[in-house]
Amino acid sequence: MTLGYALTIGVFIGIFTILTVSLNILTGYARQVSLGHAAFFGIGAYSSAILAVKCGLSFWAALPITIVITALVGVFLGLPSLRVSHDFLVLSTIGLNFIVVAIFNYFPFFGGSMGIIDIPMPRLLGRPLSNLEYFILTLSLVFLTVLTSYYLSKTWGRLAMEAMGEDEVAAKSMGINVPKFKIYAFAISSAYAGIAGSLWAHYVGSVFPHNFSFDRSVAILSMLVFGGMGTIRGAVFGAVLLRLIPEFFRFVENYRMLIYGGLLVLMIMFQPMGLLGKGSFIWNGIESLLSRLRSRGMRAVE
Amino acid sequence: MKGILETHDLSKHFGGLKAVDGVDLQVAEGEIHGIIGPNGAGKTTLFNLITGYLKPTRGRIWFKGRRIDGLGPHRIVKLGIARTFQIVRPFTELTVLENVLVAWGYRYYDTGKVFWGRYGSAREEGLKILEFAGLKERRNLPAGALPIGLQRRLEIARAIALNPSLLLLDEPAAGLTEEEITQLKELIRKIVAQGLTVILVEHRMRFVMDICARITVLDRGRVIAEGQPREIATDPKVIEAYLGVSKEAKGVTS
Repeated sequence: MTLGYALTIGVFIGIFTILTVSLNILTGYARQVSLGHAAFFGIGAYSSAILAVKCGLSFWAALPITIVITALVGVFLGLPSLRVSHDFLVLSTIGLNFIVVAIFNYFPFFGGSMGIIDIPMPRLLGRPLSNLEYFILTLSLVFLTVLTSYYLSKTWGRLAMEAMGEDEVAAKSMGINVPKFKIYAFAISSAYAGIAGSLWAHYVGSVFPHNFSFDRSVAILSMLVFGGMGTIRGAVFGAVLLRLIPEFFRFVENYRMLIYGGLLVLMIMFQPMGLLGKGSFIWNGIESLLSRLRSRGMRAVE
Repeated sequence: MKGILETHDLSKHFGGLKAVDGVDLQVAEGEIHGIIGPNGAGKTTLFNLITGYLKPTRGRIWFKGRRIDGLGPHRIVKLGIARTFQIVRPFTELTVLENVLVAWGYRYYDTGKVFWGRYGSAREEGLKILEFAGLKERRNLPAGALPIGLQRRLEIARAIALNPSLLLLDEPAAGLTEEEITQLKELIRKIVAQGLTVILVEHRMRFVMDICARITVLDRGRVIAEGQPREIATDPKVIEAYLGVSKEAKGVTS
């Protein structure tokens, strides 16, 4: 494996890490299970692509605008969640994914099935970023995503989202405006997905409708469920592991969807909290190991 | 002085069913007010109307002289009415302390601090409330792991964290042992001693008669009696509603 190839894999792992961490806010904290996250990803990618190619904006200018656009679209696409919940919400997010892809496909403004091409590499100091620099950019945005969503996980808003996710009736009696917090969850989650979309568009250099189809949403949700829904560590771990496995076992590539689907079923049956989620086998083991080490350390100090 | 809570002609009809029908209720500040009645009398529906979970078909509700009918639950909470549920609804996956903090957060949910302030900063206040409710030792347990008696206690603790002036308890003694009921009485008296007003719906007669200053009796959505526990216990209409009167007996009396 050459360095360039490793960096490329790194960029894609980074993009998917941002996607799973963002889905974690919506599905892990607020329990709004979405099988349409690729739609938000796609809206981010198309926004950034159009801003760059048609409006001539630089990546640096397009990125913040993309975040605002995807947050606003998130508000709009979150509206169905105010009417439907649980299984029906899942169905409607699938529907939204298909609608968004169809819009990319049929409206000439979005380039139809020919997509949008010639999206320029971001430029810094008068020249385009190298592969290594783009990897560093991606890594920085992954850190930004992880740090800000870690901060968010400590706020009142996260507590309200979790309470609402578990029991809407009880949440209302705690002064939580349930519709507002659902929309918050969609908007925040979507805004982060916009960052991932922007990174994708400028790295790959083109966007096509099929890049953001339903199977991608399944993949993102699988990563989150696999790693551990409701935790940032789980989201990161799931994305890294499920993106890496196919790189080491090439033959897996063709069966990727089969494996994602199979993993999703197995995890939900045997480890619904994911590999590193709250209360999973592995995480319980790590926690007891840590506390044992800590108490031993204490004794050593004494 | 007017009551802290008043309803006038309050009604809720579900199709042809008059679950609550023309209820005039007056609750004085600082008292424990019981609402009793046979199954299906409309007690929980009345609670749902007062707390905004249901919109009245007809009638009005005043809280501290302010109209509150038609407001949503989360807005009524902010005005100072907290409630518990007949079937307990703790946030089972959150810890006991986090459950109380969810309630404490009502101060922030509609402010700019919602995604800025850390909920951990209210830990001390949360622990104080848990101590008051006798749950401090279990603060780190998931709420779902508590036995039913303590889950009811947790719901009351959550409600207190909302800093209400009026607390509505929906069958707080249901499913509790005699010992737990004694503890519950103590807790409710402690709450009233803090200046809160309590309305409770309850089936356990001895409990209600013992703790309430006034009692309203509902039957088929209407108020059939109101007064002090002693008056209620001997009211023939109340006895009839609970035990029923045979047609022959009716014939004799009328």
